[in-house]
Amino acid sequence: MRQIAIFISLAVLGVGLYLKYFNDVPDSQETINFFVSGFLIIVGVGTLLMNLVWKSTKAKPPEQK
Amino acid sequence: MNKLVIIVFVLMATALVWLGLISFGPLAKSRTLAHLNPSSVRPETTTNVSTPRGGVEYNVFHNRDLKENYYRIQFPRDWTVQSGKAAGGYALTFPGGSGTADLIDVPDNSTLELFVLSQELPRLKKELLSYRQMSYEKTTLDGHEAHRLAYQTGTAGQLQQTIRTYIGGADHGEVITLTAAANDTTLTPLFASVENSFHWEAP
Repeated sequence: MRQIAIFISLAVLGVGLYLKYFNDVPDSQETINFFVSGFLIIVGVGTLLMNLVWKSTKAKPPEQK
Repeated sequence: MNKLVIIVFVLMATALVWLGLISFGPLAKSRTLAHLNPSSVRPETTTNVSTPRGGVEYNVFHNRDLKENYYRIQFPRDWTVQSGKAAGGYALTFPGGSGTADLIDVPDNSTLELFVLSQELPRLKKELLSYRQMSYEKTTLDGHEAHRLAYQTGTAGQLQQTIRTYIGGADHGEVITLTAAANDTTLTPLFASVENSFHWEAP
């Protein structure tokens, strides 16, 4: 499950970076492009970090003797 | 819940609020103004160009507002040159007329010619009062494709003639707009010399 979440975070981050650095938009749409790409980058990095630092609180099953 | 996750979430939320402010809020202006380079409106050198009406002193400006779109242009010394509305632009006033020199963003999926013919001409016709096109020609300036458009606006007695020149570039294009009274032919050689002085510079 965690791998899927990390993959989605990386995908969001990748789309954000693409919009910011490789997508040419007309001057009139620069502000919206700045916001959307920034939003995707921040959410991508944030969720990626959350995934990496997340510690499962699920109780470990008792060891079998 | 995990403490570190909460900290990261709070940081992310703070960054999103900051992004909203810098995009649409009160900080948005500071982001766009950051592009304006004060040295762009300070002439660096002065040159003398001879015209059919004698020598004219020109101030040479090096615009360094937008990376990949540095350029050099010269205006007669008696013209008032100020920063334009957007980065990379100039607002000009001179005896008998006014003008602008601006960078324009031509979308990657278009050409300068297509942009001028399909977007700029219809826009000018729609926005300008009594628009009447006088001429349109495709030419070359500074080794780049250029399109020179001449049109008149206004009513009899206050007829204005504008020369609008679009110059292609590697990233943005340049559009130089110079307007004077339609019957004033003395400014024509100056307009031509301003256009011909345009040169894209390497960053």
